[in-house]
Amino acid sequence: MTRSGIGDLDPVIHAPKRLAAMAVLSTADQVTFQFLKERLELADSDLSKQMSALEAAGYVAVAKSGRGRGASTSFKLTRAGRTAYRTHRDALRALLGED
Amino acid sequence: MESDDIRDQLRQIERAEASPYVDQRRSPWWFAPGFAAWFGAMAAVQSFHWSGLSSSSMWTALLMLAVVLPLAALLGAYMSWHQSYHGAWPRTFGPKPPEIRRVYWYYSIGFLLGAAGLVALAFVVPWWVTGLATTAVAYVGLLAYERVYERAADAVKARLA
Repeated sequence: MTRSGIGDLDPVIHAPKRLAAMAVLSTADQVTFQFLKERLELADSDLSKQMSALEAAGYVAVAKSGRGRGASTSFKLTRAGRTAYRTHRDALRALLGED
Repeated sequence: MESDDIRDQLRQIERAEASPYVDQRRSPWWFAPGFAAWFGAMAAVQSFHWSGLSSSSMWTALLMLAVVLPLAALLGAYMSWHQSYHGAWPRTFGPKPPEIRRVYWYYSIGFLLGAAGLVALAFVVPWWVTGLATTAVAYVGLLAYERVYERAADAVKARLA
């Protein structure tokens, strides 16, 4: 097994807001936009921007359901996202000497 | 990167990871009675089937159409409602706060013991008694589960505050 280090820190996930979003998604099968917005205390536009970056990196899958006022957007981690998050988390722990 | 920064980040990660488990809205009043009735109906159908009263294929087909399929549809509707009401569906397996893991264990053991007892009961009492007994056991069990879960969630929030 290779030891994690600073080289394993993922620049896409490292941004605090995206890291928090990935952490929430890592323990849920699916999370709505509203839930993330409330937990991370972000404005709609900011959260959309952060989630678009994660989606573009292939770390998050987006699902939209319904139309109009009842419409809802949900997110879940992709397999690549889960692996990237785990690697990033392990690297942080390794930097602290907790591995 | 400073150690304190990393420690802060890991703490924030831990808080965020716990969020789907502990930042849930309180269940509505109908959750425990509704689910208890659901379990009761399922148990009654199964018990009726075991009783031999439904030995003909016509009875089995009627039971499926009239009871089991609507119950399955109700469960599907509940799951979809749950996702939009709570906003997050926590993972059943995988890492979770230790306080919550303990509650999951209590629930699993309680469920297995309750189910074993009710299956045994089903062989000695009429099907409708099994249905009523299951409803009562499930109602009490769900109320207890909700209370224990809420306490565990509060403990996690206090630990990670």
